[in-house]
Amino acid sequence: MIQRSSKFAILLILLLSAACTEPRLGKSLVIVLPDESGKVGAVEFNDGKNKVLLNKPLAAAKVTTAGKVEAVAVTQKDVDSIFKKTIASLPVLPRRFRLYFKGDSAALTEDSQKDFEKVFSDIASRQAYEVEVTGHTDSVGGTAYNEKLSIRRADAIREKLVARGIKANLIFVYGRGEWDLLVKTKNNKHEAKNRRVEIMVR
Amino acid sequence: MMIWRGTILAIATLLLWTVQANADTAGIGKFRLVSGESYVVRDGTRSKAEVGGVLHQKDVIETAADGSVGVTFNDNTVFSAGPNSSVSMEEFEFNPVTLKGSFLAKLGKGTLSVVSGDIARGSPKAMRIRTPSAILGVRGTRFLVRVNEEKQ
Repeated sequence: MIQRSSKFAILLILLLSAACTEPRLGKSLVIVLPDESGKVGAVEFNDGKNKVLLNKPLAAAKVTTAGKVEAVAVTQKDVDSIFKKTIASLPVLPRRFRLYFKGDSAALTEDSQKDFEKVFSDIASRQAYEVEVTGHTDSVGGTAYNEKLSIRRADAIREKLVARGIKANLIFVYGRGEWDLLVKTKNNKHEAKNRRVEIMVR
Repeated sequence: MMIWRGTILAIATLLLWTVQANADTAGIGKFRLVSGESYVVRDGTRSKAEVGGVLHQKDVIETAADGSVGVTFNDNTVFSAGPNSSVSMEEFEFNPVTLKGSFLAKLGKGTLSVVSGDIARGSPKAMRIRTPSAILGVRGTRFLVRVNEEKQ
């Protein structure tokens, strides 16, 4: 009996203190983290009157019970205890690849043949994926010819991926001819860096 | 001169509209990870979220105590919602040619982990996340949000 009533008293105190004191991390909370490369961006939290700019690792702001946005100190421990499962559910980040081709050809250069393996293993490592393959050419040749060549290049990559088991209906192929030169050149200029496909994996 | 300018503007607007209309039918993103009880509410109908499932503008994501989801959007924004969360995709427009658009999500309750993509790169007001009591302007890239005010 004594035990039970003392437990009840503790519970009552906890409830009362929760009702009276301001929750340390507020009713809304924002925390900024470094990205994969270690860089920190910026977000601004705004209640209509007050705003707080967050642009450092673990910089945070909360909304108080009264509805005011203000800066708050948080630790990595807070991040782990509140967001562990959330962060664990973040999908693999989208990744962009570039593969280069021989002149006037839909055949990959030798270096890019090796890089193709990186593209394939990245796609294969994802639970669910979507691949955009966009072909490009340099400025040698007519624009109509180059549009076709750029699509042939993108198609060649699509076929290589499908042959390795990547689903054809999840690969989207585009050709931009010579309209989007990576290295700006005059017309009719050979440029190895422009003979490429850009592959977006997400 | 003025007439020409007007015509060009009209054509440009029409092109922009076409791109967005196409983007709408294809959805705004896809579920990449789903665990526990996780749902998507579309036009008032609630169904189980599935890996590979398409997300549309105005959809609401809901997770139970054991639920969580990860989503990749068309502009390469990636986010995940933790357990006991509710996220409304109020606005998502993205032009894949100009890489510009707008993104507005509301976190009604629960937790969100976000890595922003092309839309946030466009302008400081392009990507926003609302909580019941404040609004977050996103300039990039990685951040966390929690809403914890149900019983107040």
